[in-house]
Amino acid sequence: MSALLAIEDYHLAIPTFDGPARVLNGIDLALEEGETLGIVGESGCGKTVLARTILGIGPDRAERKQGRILFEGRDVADLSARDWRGIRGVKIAMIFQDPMTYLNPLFTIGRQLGDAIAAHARAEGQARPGRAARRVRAATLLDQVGLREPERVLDYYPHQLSGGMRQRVLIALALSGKPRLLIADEPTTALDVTVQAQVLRLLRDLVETLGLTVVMISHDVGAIAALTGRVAVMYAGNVVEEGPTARVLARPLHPYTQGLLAALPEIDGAIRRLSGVPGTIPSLIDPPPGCRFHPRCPRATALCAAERPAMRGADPAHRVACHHADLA
Amino acid sequence: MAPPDLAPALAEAPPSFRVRHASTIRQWRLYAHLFRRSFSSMLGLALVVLFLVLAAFGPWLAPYPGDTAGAVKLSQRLLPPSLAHPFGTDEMGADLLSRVIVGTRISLWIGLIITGVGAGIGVPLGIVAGYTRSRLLRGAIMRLTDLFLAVPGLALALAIVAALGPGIANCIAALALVWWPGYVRLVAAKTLSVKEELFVEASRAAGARTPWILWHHILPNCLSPIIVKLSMDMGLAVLAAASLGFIGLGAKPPDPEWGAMISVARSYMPDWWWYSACPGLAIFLTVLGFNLLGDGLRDILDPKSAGR
Amino acid sequence: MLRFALGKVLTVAGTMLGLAVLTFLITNVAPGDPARLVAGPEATADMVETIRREYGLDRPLPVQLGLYLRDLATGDLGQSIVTTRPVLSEIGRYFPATFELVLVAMAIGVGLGLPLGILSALKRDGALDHLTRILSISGVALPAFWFGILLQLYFAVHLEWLPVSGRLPLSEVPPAPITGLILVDSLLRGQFETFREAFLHILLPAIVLSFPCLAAILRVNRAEMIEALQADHVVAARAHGLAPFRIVAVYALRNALLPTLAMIGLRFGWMLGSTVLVETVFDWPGIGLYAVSSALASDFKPVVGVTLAIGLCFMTVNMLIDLAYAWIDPRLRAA
Repeated sequence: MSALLAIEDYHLAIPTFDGPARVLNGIDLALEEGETLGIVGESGCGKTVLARTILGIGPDRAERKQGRILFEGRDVADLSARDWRGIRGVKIAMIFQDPMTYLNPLFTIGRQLGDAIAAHARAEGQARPGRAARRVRAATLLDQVGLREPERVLDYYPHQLSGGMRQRVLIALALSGKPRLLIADEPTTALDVTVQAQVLRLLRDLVETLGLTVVMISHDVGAIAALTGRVAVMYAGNVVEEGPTARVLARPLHPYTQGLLAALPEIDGAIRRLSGVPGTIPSLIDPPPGCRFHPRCPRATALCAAERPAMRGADPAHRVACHHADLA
Repeated sequence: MAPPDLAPALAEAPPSFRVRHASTIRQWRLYAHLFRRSFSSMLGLALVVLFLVLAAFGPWLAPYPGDTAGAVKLSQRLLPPSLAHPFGTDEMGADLLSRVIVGTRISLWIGLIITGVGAGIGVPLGIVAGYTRSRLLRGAIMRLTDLFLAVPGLALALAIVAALGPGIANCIAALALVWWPGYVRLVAAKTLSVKEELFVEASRAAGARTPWILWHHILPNCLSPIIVKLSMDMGLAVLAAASLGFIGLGAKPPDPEWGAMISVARSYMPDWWWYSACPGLAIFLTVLGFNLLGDGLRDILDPKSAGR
Repeated sequence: MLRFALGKVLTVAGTMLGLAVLTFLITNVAPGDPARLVAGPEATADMVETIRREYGLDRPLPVQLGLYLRDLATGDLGQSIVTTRPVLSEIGRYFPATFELVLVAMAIGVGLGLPLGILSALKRDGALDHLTRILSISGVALPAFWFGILLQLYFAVHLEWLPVSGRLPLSEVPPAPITGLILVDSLLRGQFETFREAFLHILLPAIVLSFPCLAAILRVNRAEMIEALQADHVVAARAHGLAPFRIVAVYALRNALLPTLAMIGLRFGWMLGSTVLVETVFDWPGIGLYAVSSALASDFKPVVGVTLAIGLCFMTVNMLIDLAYAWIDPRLRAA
């Protein structure tokens, strides 16, 4: 069985005044139908750019330097707007980060859901559903994401809803086309802690009942742990470690992953700063040679500055890009 | 957006000027780069420099400097454009190009005084309105501003000139009087937002006195939009003064003021159609130059408000 | 919404009161003798004294202000020296011409500015974008009075396509007024030849008046469209698979329209001010020309009257725009 989504050696650069920023630097990832993949890393590591690039809504001036993104075996990296029709929203959908800015403030929830429903019907070659039909379907979707009184919510404007409700609306919008692949970009980051838990629970229920294939982007290891079966750790445009979520979290191989996990808040509420990871992420315009992590790495040697480590692992399911990883 | 430069500054020797001011130098290089890359900004700069040169050295650059002093050469009345008189001559036989060149100084002075007085009144009022904790004071200043903005500037200026009586000085006074409210709005809004910034809070907490904060924190942060507006307004003030001159309420015809010249030209229409070309072009290019310059400055200094 | 509207009306009323005081101050604080100003330059000393008493100009300033405001409240704007007729009725006579001119100019400005702004935002740095940029920059810089003269010389004198000036040919009898707008009245009365003439006459002044407005609307709309097209919710709309046309024409445009609307209000006032110039160039019998000729004749009351009328008109339009704003933006509606 071929993968639903396969990213092969993908390089992306964004031109800036100081030169091109190499934002994605040879990404290799594959996702089978029904899998849930988490992508975790600090802000600025390229995870959001990667998520948007999958959907063809990445940065305007970004240039693909190399590599492919295969969805259902077809390269989607340079599709025209016309070819995207029938994929966006219908086969691949996205849940966005900030529920305030990603809803149009001037239209009611019902209008925005209804337009998406109509667009999906057209993409699948059906007649445009009537007003009443769109409304019924929209209300069903709102009900599905756990909003009470969906009929009333339809007539609300975004600013009249709470953050958690808006996030549920965004999830309903993403589900409205019955997508095969769902990309969730930091779906809980902008929410209060209590609401985060509710939204995570909702997402987990939806994944289970609808059998969704999910890519979830987050810097929140807890959210990743709660929702995904597999995780990829990104650092400065590279995937540095990939494996089953439980194993990676329990026994991280890459020094960066180890630092990231060590920085997790403890149960008692004390937050240890990124103790294992001193310094900040490097410039993507002029990245360090060899392993991009070596200037911050406690195990760095001359080899790390000279040569970029390849992904390797004793178990093909859990691989790491580090010259000095303890694979035993 | 480029990520911040993280080049390690690990020099043992005391860092050179270049190293200590690396980010400032980079900033200015970026400004220069952006400005040079924009054709329209460079065109604006060139036009402004051209008219500044004409204003400074006009009497020496004009082909017939004597013509502006009111020389009457009836044999040369209303000549069409020729090599000797590229834009023709007027009803007194004076070379139109010379008159326009010499008139540059008047127009730029007028623009400078109007914008200078406008900003001189408007900026302090705006800072006070934005910074004061007294709602009464802020309300009073802002209502007064709204009042002046409730009538289009040209109409209000017309009324003031009508009361003061026509003439170039009254025209300048009237325009200066309607010009300040824009600065109050701009500066008050900016001050209100800067006031809440942490660095202002911090210096207030550290015991800095209000004048010091206004001078070292508030004003520098308002400077970019003020500079942009000054540049734009220079052009618009020249235009407004020329408009009043055209109507007949500003400068009076023997003065080589551009608007007044066009007003005279109108009575020699259509047979001597070229009469208005040179003064009209001068107004157009001056306003265009200051506008393009302001626009270019805005793009690099204050990019968020571009287009407004 | 009703309270919102009511508040706006009160603001307009308050500002009008302020404006009345302001005009009073301009008249009285200005160096020179207000009685002399009212009497006009040719009046003898005796006449000035008579006027001083007649107008109560010998009384203390606050009393004068009170009298002035009382007169204004009853619609008494004083008398024109030149025509000896009440200023209010003269403004009523001249205002429709100005209103018609501004309406047509605004229609040109919005009708061309909006679509051109959208198109240049969609094809940034394309050929059309460069063209509109030149248009929008020169639009603000072109002196209206000079531009008007150039158009007259070319289209009226040289090509003889359009009339030089005026609202109708002298031979033409204007239709009996219904709205006062000749374009509308001639259609309502079925006088199509008059309509044609009126249309040809209004074309040049309306184009001159609309040009800076067109430029400004174009500029704002382009910038706002570019910003709206990059907004998060538009990115989301793309991700949800909405058709590009719908995203541009509905989702982005509605957001870009709000600042554009504010600009339209601002430009409306600017236009009212510029009628002073355009009406002078084209001998357009509106309040702008009335104000200018009165000012040149040192006939002060009409100038004040026109200033107040323009202020009222400008504020009313801005109030309507504020209401439209609230109608489009649900976030304001609640407030």
